[in-house]
Amino acid sequence: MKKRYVCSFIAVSAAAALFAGCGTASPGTEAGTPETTSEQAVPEQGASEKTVIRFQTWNPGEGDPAKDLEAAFEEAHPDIDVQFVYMPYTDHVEKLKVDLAAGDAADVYGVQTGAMYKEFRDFEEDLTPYMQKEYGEDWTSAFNEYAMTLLKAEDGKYYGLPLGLTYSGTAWANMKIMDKYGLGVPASYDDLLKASAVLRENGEYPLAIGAKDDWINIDTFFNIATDINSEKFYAALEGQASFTDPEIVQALQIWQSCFTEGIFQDGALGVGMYNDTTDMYQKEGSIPMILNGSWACGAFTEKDEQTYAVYNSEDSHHEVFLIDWNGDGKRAPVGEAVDVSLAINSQSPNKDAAWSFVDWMIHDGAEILVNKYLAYCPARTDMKLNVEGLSENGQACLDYIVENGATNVAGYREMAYPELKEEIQTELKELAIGDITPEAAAEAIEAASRAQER
Amino acid sequence: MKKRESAGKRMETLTNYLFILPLLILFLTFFAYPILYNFIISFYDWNGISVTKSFAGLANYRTVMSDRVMKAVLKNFVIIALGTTLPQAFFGIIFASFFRRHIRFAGFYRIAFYLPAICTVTIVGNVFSKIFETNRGYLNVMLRSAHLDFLCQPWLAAPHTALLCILFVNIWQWTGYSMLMYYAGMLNIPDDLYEAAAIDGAGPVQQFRHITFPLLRGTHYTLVILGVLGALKCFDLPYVLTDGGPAHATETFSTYIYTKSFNTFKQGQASAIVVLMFMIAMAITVIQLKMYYKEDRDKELAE
Amino acid sequence: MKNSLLYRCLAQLVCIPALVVFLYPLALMIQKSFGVNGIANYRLVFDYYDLRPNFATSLIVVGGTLVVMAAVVSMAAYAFSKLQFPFKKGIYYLLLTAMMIPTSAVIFPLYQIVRVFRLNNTGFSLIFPYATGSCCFNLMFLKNYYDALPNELLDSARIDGAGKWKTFLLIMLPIAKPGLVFALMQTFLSSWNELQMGMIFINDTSRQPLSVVPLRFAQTTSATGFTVNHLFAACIICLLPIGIFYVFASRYMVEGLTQGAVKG
Repeated sequence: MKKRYVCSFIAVSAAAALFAGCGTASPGTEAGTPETTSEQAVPEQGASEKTVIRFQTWNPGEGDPAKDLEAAFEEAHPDIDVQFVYMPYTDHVEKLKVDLAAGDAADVYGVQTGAMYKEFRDFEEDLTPYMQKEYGEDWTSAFNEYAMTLLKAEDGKYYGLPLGLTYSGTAWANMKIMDKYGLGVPASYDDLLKASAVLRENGEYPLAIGAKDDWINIDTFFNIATDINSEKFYAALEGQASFTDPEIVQALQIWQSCFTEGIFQDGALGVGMYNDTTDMYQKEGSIPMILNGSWACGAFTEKDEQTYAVYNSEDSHHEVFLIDWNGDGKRAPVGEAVDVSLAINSQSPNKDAAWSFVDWMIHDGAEILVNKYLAYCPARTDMKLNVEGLSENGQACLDYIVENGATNVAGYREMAYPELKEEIQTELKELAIGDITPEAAAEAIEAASRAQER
Repeated sequence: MKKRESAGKRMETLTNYLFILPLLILFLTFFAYPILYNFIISFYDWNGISVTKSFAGLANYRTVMSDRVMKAVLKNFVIIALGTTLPQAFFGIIFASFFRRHIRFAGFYRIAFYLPAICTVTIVGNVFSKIFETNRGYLNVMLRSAHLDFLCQPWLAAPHTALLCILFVNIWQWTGYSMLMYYAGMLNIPDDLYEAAAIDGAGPVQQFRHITFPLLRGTHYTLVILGVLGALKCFDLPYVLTDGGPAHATETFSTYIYTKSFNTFKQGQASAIVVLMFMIAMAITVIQLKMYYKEDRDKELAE
Repeated sequence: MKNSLLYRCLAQLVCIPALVVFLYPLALMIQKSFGVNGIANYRLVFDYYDLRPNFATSLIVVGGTLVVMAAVVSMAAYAFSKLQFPFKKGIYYLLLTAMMIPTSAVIFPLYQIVRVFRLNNTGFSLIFPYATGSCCFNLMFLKNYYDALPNELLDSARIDGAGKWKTFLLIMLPIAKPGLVFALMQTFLSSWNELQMGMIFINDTSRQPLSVVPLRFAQTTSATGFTVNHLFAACIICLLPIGIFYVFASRYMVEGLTQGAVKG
C-alpha cells in the first residue's frame, strides 16, 4: 500500500516538474521583452521615454506605404513611437473586439463607415472637441462635405476622421486589348453586350468581376440601381420605399442578365477580386476589362515590374468608365465611402499621443497616401492632388474620377444595416446562379428590409 | 488480493483520478469557461462589442432555428461528414494495407501521401482556386486539351460542384492522416496471424477481410468520430475557397458563426449556433461510443 | 508474407496515379512561389521582415505545447483505457466534444482567461490552449491505442507487484510510444500552423509565430507592392521547417512504430 503512494507521489511530482520545467525553460527569451508592449509598462518608463502607441488597421496595407508613414511620423514626433499593426479586415475586427473587451486594444484604429463605425461606438472617442480646439468651430468645412455627413453620428458628433475617399461603380478597360478587336470604351449596357460577344469569340475575357467577393457585387448592384433611380433606391435602403418597386426590380434584372447574357466572365461567382481577378488585369495585363473602384487608379503608381509594364509601357493605355446600365443616355453615378476613417480608442491611456497621430495622419499622412501611392482620393478640400510620377494616362483616369466624385455622386457605398446587406448579398448571388427571378429576389430583400432595425 | 482491494478501493479510485487531473485542470482552466460563456451569451441580444447587452431569452435560438441558411448548414454538415470521412477511411486503409505488405516504394509513398496534411489551408485554398477556376483554371484547361470539354464545369461557381470541390480538397488533404492512423494500427497486428491465414490458403483479400479489417475496429471508430467532429468544425477551407458560397451552398457551422459575429454583429445568435453545435457533437459522440462500448462488453462476455 | 505479381502490379497501379494527385498541387504551390521573379520573391520576404524572432516564438510555442501535451495526454489516455473511476465516461465525452468548438467561438473568452493569468503577449498564452486542444484531439486515438494493448500485460505487472504508476511508466508508456509519436507529430503540425490565436494573443507583430507572417503578404487592398507570388513564398518559408522535419522524422517514426509493435 504505502509503496504505491510513494510511487504515485513520485510520478505526480515528476509530472509537475515537467510542467514547471517547461515553465522556466521555454519562456526565457519571451517573458522579459513583451511586457514593454503592453500598456502597464508605459507609465513606469518615465517622462523622458517615448510614448508608445499602437495603430491597427486593415488599410493601408503593410508594405512600403506603412513603412513610409511610420518613418515620417516619428520624424515629426520624436517623442512618440507608433507601432503599425496590419491585419486583414475580418481579423482586424476580431482582434479589436477581443482587445477592447479586455481593455488593451490599439490606441488608434481604422474604421469602415457603415455598420462597423456604428457598432464600435462605445469605444470610439468623440473627436469633435479635439478638432474644434485645433481648427475652430468651422473645422468640418476643410473636409469633403458628403464624407462629413457619412461620419456625423446621430448625436451630431464625429467619432472618426477621414483618411481618404474612394468611389465605387467604376469599370476599367485595357485599351491595348480592346483596340486589337476594334472596340471602344463601352458606354452602355448594349455596348457591353456587343463588346462581350466580340471578346468571347476571340477567346478573351468579357467584363471581369470577382463575384465571390460580396463587396464588388454590392458596389455593382448599387451602381445599376442608382443609375435607374438613385433617390428611390436610397429611400428603399432607409426603409422609406419598397424594394419591390419596378425600378429596383429592373436593376435586379439587369444584374442577373449580366451573368445570363455573358457580359461577365463564366464562373464569375467562383473567383474573388483580390488577388484572383485584379492580378489578371493589373499584373498580367491579360484581360481587357474589370469592374473595380477608384482606388484601382493606384496601380498606375505601383513600382513592381509586372504592374509597371502593364500601366507604364509605351503602348499601354487604360480607360476608367461608368456605364449607362438602363440606356437612358446618362452614365451611372458613383458611390462614395470614407476609406478609411481613423478612430481613437476611448479607453486609451495615451489619448494625447493618439490624437497627435490622428491629426498628423489626416494631414501629412494622407498627403503621402494620396500623392505618393494614390491609395485614395483626398478627403480634405484644401489638399492639392499632385500625384508623384503619375503618367498622362493615369492623370486622365484620375481626372475622370475626381470629376465624377465632385459632380456625380449618388450616395453612400457602405450601408449601416448589416442584416439587410447580408440579405442583398445572398439574393445577388442567387440571381447570378439563376435560381430565382428578380421579382422573388426583390420580395426577399423587402422582407429583410422590414425586419431590419434602423 | 480481494481483501486488499475492498479496503483500499476508495483511495484507489481517487488515485486513479490523479492520472487525468492535469488534463482536467487544463480543460477547466482553458475550455470550460469558453463553453459556458457561449451558453450565457446565447441568451442575450448583443453585438459583441458594446458595453451593454440585453437579455433576450430564447429569441436567439428561435431566430437561428427558423433561419433558412441553417438548413443549408445542417445539410452540408451531413454531406461533408459522410463525403469526407468514408472516402478518407477507404483510401487510407487501402494505402495502409499496401504499405503493411511492404510493396515497392512504400516508404516514399507514405511520406508523399501525408505531405498535403502539413500544409496550411490558406495556401491550399489559394492553389486549388487556381486549379478550379472556370476559364483558365488548370483543371478545365487540362480537360479541354484532352478533348473532354463536356466535363468542364464552373467548379467553384455552381452550388453543387462547389460543395464537391470542398469535399475533394478535404479528402486530398486528410487521406494521409487516415492512412497513418490505419498503418499504426496495422503494425499492432502480429505477423503470425497473417502467416497462419496464408497457410490456410487465404489470399490478400481474405486476409484483409477476416484479420485486418475487424482488428482495426478502434481506428474505425476514432476516424469516424474525428471525421464527424471535423465536419462540424470545418471552417478554413470553405472560408478560403468559396467563402461559404455561392449563395450559402458551402456554408458550414463555423463559417456561419463567423459571418454572424463579424459581418452582421449578432454575437448572441452566433453563440446560440455554438451551443447547438456543441449539443449535436455531444449526441453524436455519445451514440458512437455507446455502440463501440456495447460491442466491447459483448466481446468480454463472450470470452 | 509474399505478394503475388498481380497484387504488386495492382498496388502500383493505384499508388502512382494517387501520387500524381497528391503531389501536383504541391508542385504548383512551389512553382507559384518562384513565379515571375524567381528566387527574388523569397529574398523580398526576408528583406522585409526579420523572421528570426517569429521563428523563435514558433519553436518555443511548439516545443512547450509538445512537452505539456505528451505529459498530460499519455497519463489521461492510460487512465481512460485501463483504470476505473467514477464519471469516467461522462468526463470522456465532455473532453472529446470540447475539441470541436471552432476557434472563433472561443477566442474571446479564452483571451480573458489568458489575461487573468497575465499570459498575454507571451508564448504561454498559446502553449496552454494549444496543448489543451491537442490533448482532447489525441485522447481518443491514444486511448484506443492503449485499448489494443492486451490486459495480460497489466495482470503480469500486477503479479510482479508493480503499482499503477510503475506499470504506467515502465510498461505501458514504452509500448505506447509509437502512438505517442504519432500524436506528437500531429500536434507539431497543428500547433505550428495555427494562426488565429497567435495573431490575437500576441500584440507585437515581430514576436508572433511564423504562421502569421504570410497573412501580412496577403494583399487585401491596393498599393502594397506585394504580389501573390510573395504570399506563396512566405507560405513556403513557413511550411519548409515542418516539411523538412516531417520527411526526416517520419523515418524515425516508422522505426518507432515497428519497434513498438507487439510481436505475437
